[in-house]
Amino acid sequence: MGGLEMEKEARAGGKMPGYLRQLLRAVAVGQGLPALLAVLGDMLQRPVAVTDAAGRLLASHCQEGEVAGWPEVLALPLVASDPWRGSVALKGGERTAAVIPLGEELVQGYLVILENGRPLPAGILARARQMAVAVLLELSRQAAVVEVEKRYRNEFIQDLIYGNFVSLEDVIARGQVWGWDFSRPYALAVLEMDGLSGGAAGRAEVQRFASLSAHYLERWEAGVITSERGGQVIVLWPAPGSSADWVSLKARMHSLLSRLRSQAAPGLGRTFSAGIGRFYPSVLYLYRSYQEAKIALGLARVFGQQGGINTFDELGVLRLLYEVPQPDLEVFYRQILGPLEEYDACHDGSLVDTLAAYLASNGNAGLAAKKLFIHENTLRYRLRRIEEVLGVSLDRLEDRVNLFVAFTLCALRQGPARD
Amino acid sequence: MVTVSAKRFRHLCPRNCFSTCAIISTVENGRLVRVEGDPEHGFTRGRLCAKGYAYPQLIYSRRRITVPMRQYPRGSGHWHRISWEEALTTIAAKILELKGRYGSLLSVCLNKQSGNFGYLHYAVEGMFNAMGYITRAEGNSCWSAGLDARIFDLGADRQSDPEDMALARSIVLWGVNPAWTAVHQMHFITMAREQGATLVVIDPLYTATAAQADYYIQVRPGEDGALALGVARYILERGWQDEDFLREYVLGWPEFRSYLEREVSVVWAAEKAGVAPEAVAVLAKLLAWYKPAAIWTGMGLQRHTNGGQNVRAITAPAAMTGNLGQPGGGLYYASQQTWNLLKYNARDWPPPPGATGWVLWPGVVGDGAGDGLEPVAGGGSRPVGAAGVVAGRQARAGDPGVAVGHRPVNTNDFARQVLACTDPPVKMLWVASRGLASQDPLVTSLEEAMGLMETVVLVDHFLTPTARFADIFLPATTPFEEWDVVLSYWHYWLGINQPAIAPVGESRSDLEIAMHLSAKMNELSPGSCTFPTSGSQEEWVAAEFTPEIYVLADIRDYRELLDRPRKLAWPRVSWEGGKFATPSGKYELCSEQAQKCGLPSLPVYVPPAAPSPAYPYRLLTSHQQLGINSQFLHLGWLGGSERATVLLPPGLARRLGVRSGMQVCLYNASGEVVLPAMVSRQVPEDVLLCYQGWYGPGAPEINAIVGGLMTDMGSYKTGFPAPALYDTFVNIYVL
Amino acid sequence: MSSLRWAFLLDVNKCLGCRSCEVACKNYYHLGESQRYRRVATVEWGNEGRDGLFFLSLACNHCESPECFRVCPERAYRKRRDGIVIHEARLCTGCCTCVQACPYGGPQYDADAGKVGKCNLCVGLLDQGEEPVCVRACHTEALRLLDLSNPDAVAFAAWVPGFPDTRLTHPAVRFVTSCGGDWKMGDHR
Repeated sequence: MGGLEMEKEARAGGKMPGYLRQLLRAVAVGQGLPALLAVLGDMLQRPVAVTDAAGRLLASHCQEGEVAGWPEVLALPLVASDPWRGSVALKGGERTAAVIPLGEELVQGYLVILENGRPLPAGILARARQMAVAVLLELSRQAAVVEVEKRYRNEFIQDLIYGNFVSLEDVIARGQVWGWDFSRPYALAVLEMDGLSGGAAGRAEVQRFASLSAHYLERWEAGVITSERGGQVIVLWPAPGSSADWVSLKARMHSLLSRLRSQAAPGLGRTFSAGIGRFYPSVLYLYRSYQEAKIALGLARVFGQQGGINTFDELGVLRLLYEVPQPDLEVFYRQILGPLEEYDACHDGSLVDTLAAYLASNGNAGLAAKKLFIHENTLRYRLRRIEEVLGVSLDRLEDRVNLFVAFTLCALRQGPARD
Repeated sequence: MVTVSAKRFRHLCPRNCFSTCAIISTVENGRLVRVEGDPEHGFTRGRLCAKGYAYPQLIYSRRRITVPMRQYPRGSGHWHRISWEEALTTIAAKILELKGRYGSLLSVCLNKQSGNFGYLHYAVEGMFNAMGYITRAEGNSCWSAGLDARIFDLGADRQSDPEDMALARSIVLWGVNPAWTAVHQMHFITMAREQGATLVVIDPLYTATAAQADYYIQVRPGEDGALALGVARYILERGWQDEDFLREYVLGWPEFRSYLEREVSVVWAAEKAGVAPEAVAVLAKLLAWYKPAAIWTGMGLQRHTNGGQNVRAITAPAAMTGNLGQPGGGLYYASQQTWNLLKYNARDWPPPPGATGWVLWPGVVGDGAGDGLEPVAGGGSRPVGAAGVVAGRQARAGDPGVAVGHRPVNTNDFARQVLACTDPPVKMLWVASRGLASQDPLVTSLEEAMGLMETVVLVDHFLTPTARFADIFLPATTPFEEWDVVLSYWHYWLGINQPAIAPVGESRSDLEIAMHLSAKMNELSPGSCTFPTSGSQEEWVAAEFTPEIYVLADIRDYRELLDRPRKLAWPRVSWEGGKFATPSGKYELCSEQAQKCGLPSLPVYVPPAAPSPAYPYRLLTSHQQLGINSQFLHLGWLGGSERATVLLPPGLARRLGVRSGMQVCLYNASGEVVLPAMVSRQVPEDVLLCYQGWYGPGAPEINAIVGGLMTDMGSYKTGFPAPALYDTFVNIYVL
Repeated sequence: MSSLRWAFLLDVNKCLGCRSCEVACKNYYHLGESQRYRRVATVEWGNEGRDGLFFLSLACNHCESPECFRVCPERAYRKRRDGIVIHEARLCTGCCTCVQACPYGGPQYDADAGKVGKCNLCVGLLDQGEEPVCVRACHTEALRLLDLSNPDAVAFAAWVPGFPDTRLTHPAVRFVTSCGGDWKMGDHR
């Protein structure tokens, strides 16, 4: 549509409209987004802004004397109609705006035009859309530069967290290129959105999440480095010199990640989970912290948790269990719960489920009975059976611990097979 | 990483295997560092099997014996090193002493089998041929019953190019497990399947090949014939037979047809075979409507008392449906059709003039090889004496009216027959390319036979179980230390084997041993051996080539094979145009030859041997994945995690209270063997499975309880029937 | 912006369990007697009347989160950008921590050398544009290489019965299986 309009106008005037030429010149000489927006704002006589795909503000322009109160991040819908019209949250309150997505298949950003209480006239809108092409050009040019930079950056971080550096001197020297001080230790966290699907849609969400995390965390905490790999955001957190402060650093990581969760949520539409690795005094061991962070996160996933922040050194019994070789787990599980499974199989019974519910109710028979939709007496009868079959007493702490551990192992043994 | 000094050499794997792989070795600083497949070879396509890739370990194994040794006393395990000079002098002197004592060499016995199919290894036979007439273990433990069956039907054991199996629309693998025993063929089978071919696997065992199949038919062991006859009957009922083909090219269809109508029903056949009637229908449909159909008959199913008969029954439906003589289809088994293209120069040496030998039955002279190239008996039955030993007497060559030769004993009943030889008795044994103490049926009876021997010579790489009986051990070279030429009994490719490294230690090739022993014999008794005492190995290789094979390989000199192997321009399709090699020139459903051998003329049903209440379970001893008979499996690279195990079906295991890992004892009247058990769904009910082979020092010897019965066929072509190894019945208890 | 990430792809329907891959690897790298960088496992399964037999040819899976790498006290492991997990034998003291940690039996101890070794995906050959030894030895092309950064890679199964839990280490191995995606761990016996 935009192209057709432009063609018509060009034919009518015999040449390209002046404002377009002005815009394209601004792109060509590389004056940058602010200059482009100045031309645009003057043309449209409205406050305008450009954001990236995640809604982060890249540039804005207001007429003299006007204060739009643009926020750092605009909560914009992920898949916008073209154009999208609705209200956006500014510092001063809600304003209605017209939003033009920039880019065809892959949206690279948004052009936001504030309205003056009434919809933009069709003619203005049509012009705005023509001009959006110029903004997109500039955005792509910048994106290409950023992409290259990001790739090198990511590769460096990947080398760091996969142990591809031999000496600390190397790491420090390479870090300086990016302005990072790797002579000091870093802590590491891994963030991942919950319930994310694969494919192109998931990919776009990951990009958005990575971009938002980077934006907030790097602003809130000086020296934070973020990088994306395999759908996860890796956060390197500058740490004080010694492990003595590890407890307080962990607390700070927890609090900032919680804050990120509340800040980013509107733009994400999902929760995320995090894993935090242990603290090592040298960045040469960041690789280990990275693996630990992934395990903390992975175990949370295995045990079906969402939205949590999981610290490797606080995994407790889960980590212990995880470190036991699989065959030993199997033997343990068989020893503790095997007879009950066999009993159920032979008698078409449900003692395993009953016991699971009982333990999950912290040994509260009434609660367990309710969960199972059975009478409490039935439950008590079954619990006696269970004690007989297994030769245990559910009153003994030792027996209960064994049973609890065996059920926990269930999650390690089974579960969805998909990667 | 290949270093600058690396050199590469071409080899051929000479083992008793379908693939006869072309191998390329890499040698660095005089040491063979690795082997790989030769990509120039169109059948093996640059790949080896697991065993082939283990050759470097075989060559440099710490357990390999590379110096001549003597064991004293025999069986003690006290071996001490001796020189080649001492070894050869002892042996030559012994041979000459026996010759003086008995007036012939008939008290000297050779037992050699399929350990190495290289043509220069026939020097062992050649060396004894060149000394005179001896006692020889003849017959073949592997394929003789099926071979006779094919000869009765087709007239000769010929088959089409196995690479053309890729063109088949249906492939029936009947009792064969190429995923383990002929892995290269799986490429061509996979190709056919990718073109839409249907794969049927018929086997009592759910094998790795069966796991690949579109249809798997679990036939009861020994009842293959019933299944095949059911298929024939089904085809007949539907009128799916190829009447034109039957009329023009098949002899005995009316007789067979009337047999089918009279005696066979599909329901009966399915019940006998232990399969669903649908399985019969599927097979019939594939053979009749999805042509060309390739039917590959394995060797296991003919190791029954009715084995030959079963093979004849299997080939009958193929003839009925005209699945012969066209590319991509036909009957596959194994064939030495190209082997006479080489000269057998190392083998065929004349005895010294006037040598005393054995008078054979009137008018027939053994071909000396017992390798199935030509029938050894015109009528199929030879007069036999005590213990089934072929009757005859000692006589001088050249005496008027007699034809003398070697005294044959059945290699499959070796111990008993050797014991029965009295005039003269057997006093010396030479064992080469052979692991008789682990591979012979009823191995326990060997003990007594060996007690007769004054000298036993073993040529090998390792102290195998046979070494227990040996006095002198002669270290053999591996294919990587010698020249040779090998032909396949499956594919059409010709290559050459060159040495890559100097012989390890003091080891020598069979050819060198023959030349040295001949020299020693002549030194002690001039004229006692006609075998040449000089000539380089390469010259011996050159001497094997014939103008005919040069034409077929499109080369002018054997050295061209050093650049790459060549495919022989041998007819791709056997029996093209319906011309068979039988007396009638037709496919003989009704075989007069068979009848002459005392067998049914038609491929009628013959029931298999049945278990007794005392020994209710059939014991199958199939081929290993990681071994060829007694070879390879004992190598750490291959057998490291493999131990002799008996596999039990789940139902039987439940009844007996056996769980995997428990020790069980298998026993029958012949003996007992203790093994760990493994419960497996691959095995049908009432069948036990123990893969045969030598598992390494101290491993249980399963052949202590295997054997006793003989196959129905085998005598016609190889001189003797084969052991009906799979008609072994045992009982079992848990330890 | 995805870059090359190597994985093994095993067509379970085509794998014959012939073990050529396994021994070809031993032959090429002169492994210790008990070392098998690649191993073929037999999986017999029976489930609700369906019976089957298949083979799993497995080596180091060059995991996304390699446990060997995490636990090694000598920092003998690293992971290249193309995903290959490299074990530097010269740094290895043979403590076997990695051997215990790996769920897949990837790292293997050689008593003679006193060191651990494992599949390095024939990185030397790969960097010269050649295929790994095991892939070259496969008779039916059941074993191949796969680039996980290729969007089509998601079509392959990440788990089959007989294969250990993948959820924490995310191994770079994929399977072609006619059993489809309806498998659950623990289905097999």
